[in-house]
Amino acid sequence: MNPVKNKSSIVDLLDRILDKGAIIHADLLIHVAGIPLLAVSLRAAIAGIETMLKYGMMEDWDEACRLKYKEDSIAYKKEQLMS
Amino acid sequence: MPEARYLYCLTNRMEQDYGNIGLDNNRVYSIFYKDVAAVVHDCESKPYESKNVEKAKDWILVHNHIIETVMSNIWETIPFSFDTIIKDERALKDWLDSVYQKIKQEFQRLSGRLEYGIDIFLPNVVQTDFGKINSGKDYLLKKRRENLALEKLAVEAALYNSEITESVKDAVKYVQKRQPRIVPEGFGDKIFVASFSCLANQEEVKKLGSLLDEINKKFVVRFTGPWPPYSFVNSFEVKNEPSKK
Repeated sequence: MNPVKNKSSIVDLLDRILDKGAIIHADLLIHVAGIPLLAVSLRAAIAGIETMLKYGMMEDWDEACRLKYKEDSIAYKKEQLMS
Repeated sequence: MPEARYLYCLTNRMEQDYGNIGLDNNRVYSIFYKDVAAVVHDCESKPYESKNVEKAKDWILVHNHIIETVMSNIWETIPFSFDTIIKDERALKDWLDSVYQKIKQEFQRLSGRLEYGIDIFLPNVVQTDFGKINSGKDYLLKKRRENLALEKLAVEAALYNSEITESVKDAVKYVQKRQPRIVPEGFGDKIFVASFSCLANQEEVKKLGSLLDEINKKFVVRFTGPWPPYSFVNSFEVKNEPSKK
């Protein structure tokens, strides 16, 4: 069996490019790779949320999203109170 | 002129200019330190983010395309994750100076090796025709039978997992088990058994090919690559402070 490669195989690239790759000391960086929301939206769009939930693949992002939503809600409420 | 540098990879290929092939058609070029080149484009001091999935997908493909272009399956290349942006050229050169020896060691380790992906599935052979459904109770019974059969297959898959892992490790020196987060198209109805990333040279790829031929008799095998060695440069974490000059 020989390895095959689909040049536009985004499925194979996502896990590698968003989660792996070389890391540099963070002080020098504008941004360290791995934007959770970019990763979530891309993966969800490609795999379909249903498939990801079925395979238990969304749990960590799901948690991250809920946390982000909670933080945003708190920030929004604070803004409302201030204004 | 933008001061920050978007990093694609480090390489021992001494090419100066790759043309306007970068993210959003930016000019991709090399910044040299001794015999190491950092392949970059100039960018603003902010990360690439987009809510437009098609745009983000395009960025991912372009990021990989550039690394593969640099690598050309010949040159040693250390790929960076998407959106690795360093504040300016001076910071980059200081950093390269501080980790030069580590980079050279990495080039040596990666020499002649590329990344390959292996995904192994069991065909889903669960019989779904359990007779005519006349009532809600029939339907629930059918679902219960299906679930039991699937659970049995999942246990079987877990048992095969360790056996297959051992044989893959025998064939290739650098192996990592993976938990793929997206099921590849056409594999959604199959039972996941195991997935690996391998950093392999040509000889090891042949060995893997023969092994996978055998495995493919009972399982459904997906063998992909070569990829830049994304999964094998994680240890390239640098904790040193850059040298102060």
